[in-house]
Amino acid sequence: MDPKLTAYATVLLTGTGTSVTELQALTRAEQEPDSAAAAAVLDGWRSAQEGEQP
Amino acid sequence: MTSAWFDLGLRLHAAHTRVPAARLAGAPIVTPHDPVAVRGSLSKGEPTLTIATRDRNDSVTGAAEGLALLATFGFSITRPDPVTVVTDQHAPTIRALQAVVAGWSEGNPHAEAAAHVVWTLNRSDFPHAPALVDVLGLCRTRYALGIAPEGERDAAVWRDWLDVPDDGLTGVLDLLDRATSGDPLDGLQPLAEDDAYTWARAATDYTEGRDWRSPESIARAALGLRSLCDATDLHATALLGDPLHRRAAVHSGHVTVGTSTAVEGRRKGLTLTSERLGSRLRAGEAVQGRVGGPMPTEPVFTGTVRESGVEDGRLVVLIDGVTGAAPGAGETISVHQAPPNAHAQRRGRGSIGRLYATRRSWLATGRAPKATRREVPLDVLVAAADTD
Repeated sequence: MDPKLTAYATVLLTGTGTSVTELQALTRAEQEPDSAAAAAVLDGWRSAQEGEQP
Repeated sequence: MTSAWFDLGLRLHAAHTRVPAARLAGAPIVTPHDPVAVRGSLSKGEPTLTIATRDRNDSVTGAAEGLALLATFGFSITRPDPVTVVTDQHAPTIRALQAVVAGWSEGNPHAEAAAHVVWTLNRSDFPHAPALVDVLGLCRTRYALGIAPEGERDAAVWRDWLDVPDDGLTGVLDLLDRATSGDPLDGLQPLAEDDAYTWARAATDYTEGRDWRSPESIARAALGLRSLCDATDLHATALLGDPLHRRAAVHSGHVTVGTSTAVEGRRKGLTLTSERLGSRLRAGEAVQGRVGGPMPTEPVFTGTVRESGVEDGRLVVLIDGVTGAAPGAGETISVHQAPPNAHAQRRGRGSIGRLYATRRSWLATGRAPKATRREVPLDVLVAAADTD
């Protein structure tokens, strides 16, 4: 993954108790989230799955 | 904060698949008329313009030369429909076009082209109006990339992600095609009608000598600002017509999802109870609702927010005057602001215009009017603060 995206995600997730690595595993496995941050990220992930492809 | 996390989910998915994540299922602008790619720059006050279509590409330096080149690409206020300017260098191109028009002088044979450019510049502030398309902004509205947000300001990045090999102006037209694929959002039609109306009026003004060559009246300036606010409101609710945007808007509070309960003693009322407290629904606001989550296509009921509050840690919104297929008790519903009535907006602008034209009206005389307040859309404030 782009290091700048990793850094950006790390800043966004500060204080949520969820790391970028955990989040990536969570989204790929589509496990149920255990925090508000993870739930919102997973919703974005699923929206991208359902979205139109260019 | 959840909006940013939702956006991060889009980006992580795009990074994982190496495919841009769609923010919108539909195109965020109406199909542009005759798009022409333009890049402009200024050096010591001298504009340089490069203009291209799919089969032609020319570049000149100088205001008069620029105007002559624009004329050869069909820029003329006498056209039935305007040319759409598409650029990946938004601010420099606007400055160059401004310099081209500022360099016009009596005797220049391309006044009709200059009048077209003035209309284009006047409409460039309008949200995604197809007069002057900032193609990178359009791409950002349509897609999220698997990179950090600041990287999306680079045209080369978009060309890479959207598979556009040409880094010239033909590539700009290719980016436009990618960003506008599919059908335009339904709610954009009033904006297109407004564009057509202002184009016809600009043509009349040119014919009657009331164009950029004469000073703009206070009434025109005021109506222009009012039009911009109205267009921004229309565009914001047009986006809510898109299912992917509605899904994201749950996280910004623009769409509220909860459980419906009938209100005792109110035949046409219901309450929406939501675990999520962040909501932008306000008392007095007209709303549209869907049964189920935010994704189903058509709204099935409308109503007006009567009041909202927090009870037992949950958001409770009372909606009155419900029409359409009212949801049953216990059903999941999603509700958002209803689109403004474009006809009412036009009537409002018409009445302001009449007040300015009437010598003894409070507007024309400058007497203090009865105070009425409205919110200025955030996009308008941001555009006003933009120094580019």
